[in-house]
Amino acid sequence: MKVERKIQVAATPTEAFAKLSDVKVLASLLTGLMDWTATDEPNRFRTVFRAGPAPLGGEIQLEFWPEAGTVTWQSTKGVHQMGRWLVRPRDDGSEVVFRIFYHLDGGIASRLAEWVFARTVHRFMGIALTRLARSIEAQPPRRRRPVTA
Amino acid sequence: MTDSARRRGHDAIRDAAWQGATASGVTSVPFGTPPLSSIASGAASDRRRQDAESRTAPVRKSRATMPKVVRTPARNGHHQTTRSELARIAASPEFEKLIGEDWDWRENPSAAARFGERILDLIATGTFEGRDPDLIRENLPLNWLLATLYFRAKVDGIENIPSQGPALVVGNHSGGNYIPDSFILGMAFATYFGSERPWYALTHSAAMALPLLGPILKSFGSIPATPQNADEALRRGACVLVYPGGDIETYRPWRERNKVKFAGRMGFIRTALKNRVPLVPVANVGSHETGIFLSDGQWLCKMLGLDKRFRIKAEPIQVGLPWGIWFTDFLPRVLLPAKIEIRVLEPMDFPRTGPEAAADDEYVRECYEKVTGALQDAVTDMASKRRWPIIG
Repeated sequence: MKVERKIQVAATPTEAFAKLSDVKVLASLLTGLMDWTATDEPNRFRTVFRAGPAPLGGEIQLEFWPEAGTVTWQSTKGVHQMGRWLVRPRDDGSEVVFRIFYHLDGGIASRLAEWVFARTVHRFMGIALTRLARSIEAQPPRRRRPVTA
Repeated sequence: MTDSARRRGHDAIRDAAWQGATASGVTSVPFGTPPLSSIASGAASDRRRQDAESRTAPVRKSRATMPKVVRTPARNGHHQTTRSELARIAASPEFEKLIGEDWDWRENPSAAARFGERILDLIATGTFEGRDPDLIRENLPLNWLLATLYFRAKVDGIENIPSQGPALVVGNHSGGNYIPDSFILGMAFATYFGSERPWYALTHSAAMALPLLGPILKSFGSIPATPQNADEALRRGACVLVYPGGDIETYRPWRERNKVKFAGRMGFIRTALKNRVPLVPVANVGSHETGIFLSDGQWLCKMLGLDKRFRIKAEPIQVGLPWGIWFTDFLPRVLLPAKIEIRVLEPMDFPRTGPEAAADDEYVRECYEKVTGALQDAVTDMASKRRWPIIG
């Protein structure tokens, strides 16, 4: 299953990539992330996501490609997944593309689960891109409307 | 003879039978695979071995009931199993150990009941190699779908299970034979730690002995619920799930659905202490609302003799679809879509561990009270946050 979302940001590709290449910023973008711990291997992290009823554990290997404006990851444990952050130049700034490919072992039930799960993943990716855009454009986070009596 | 003493004796008999039979040249024991504890350690545990050795030699009440030895000459020089050979095996001490010293139920009616129980145990005996991590991984999405869409399940605190090494996970058993909480907890464990990490669930021999269900359960990591199997699984570094309440707890009536009911079974404490492993309590609510049990039917099991013949001490009287009101939970039924919540508590530390601590009855009782108290507190807390039964 492939899920893709994109967003326009008012910053140069270099500025946008600088944000993405910071691992702490990258972790802060992801919704449902319960654990993000560096392992002994360089750029390898133990991750735990809240996915439906139970936490989803795994390990990912990050790779940075500054020339291509790309940050990718691939799972080394847990659910088979690949992800990509891609920064492209645009006339009025940059475009950040966020893609996730994932695969669940099994038959028809697994395809159905992928499809059901895709809706949540799609929503979480949208939130991550909005957070990234705010972070790059240095906008304050949206505040809740104060509760009136 | 008390029930526990009888069971200890039985386990010793099973182990001794296998070892004895193989040592005496009987190449195949008529009840399938050898017991797990024999495969693993090559011998029964010290305590059980001492029990077996300390037993006085059985005195058969009457030789007249033994089959007559009839010598049949071998034909064409080939060895053949004759009645005389069967009689020799039957007369051997190994066979006597296998089926018990009081095997002749014509003279000893209680032996008939015990024989049924022993046969059930021997059929249910499996191996640890039966667990299939690939099958578990491929079925995770299906479990995930059911847990998410049907039961609206939520598992909290799974990270409290130690990330490495063995652990004894102890929960309150709910939901009759269908035990959705067990499957959801197993799924949560596999999604968090990966399906490769060994996870065994101690399962009732009656379920393990069923022709179709037994092999499936074995593939998902079920092993017959005996202390020896728990010891062996922990020795292998696995996490072991045990529901001490067993059938008595899982069939408890609807009004007791938020009550932890271990029925005074403290074997799990002894197992944790003896093996010096952390004990992780797991509380769940909602799973018992997938069926409506009117009574646990203990009185009926006693009346029908199921407790003695098949170690089935409870079987529920329930109301639901499609049967209306009926007895037993071995028939297929519609599970109600109750919201299931599972909370893994922090591992419990006990000041003293080891075989000596496990043999101290008073200390074991203290630990038991501590564990059941923590579980009951968590269950009460979770139940208090539910507004409606089933809906959650």
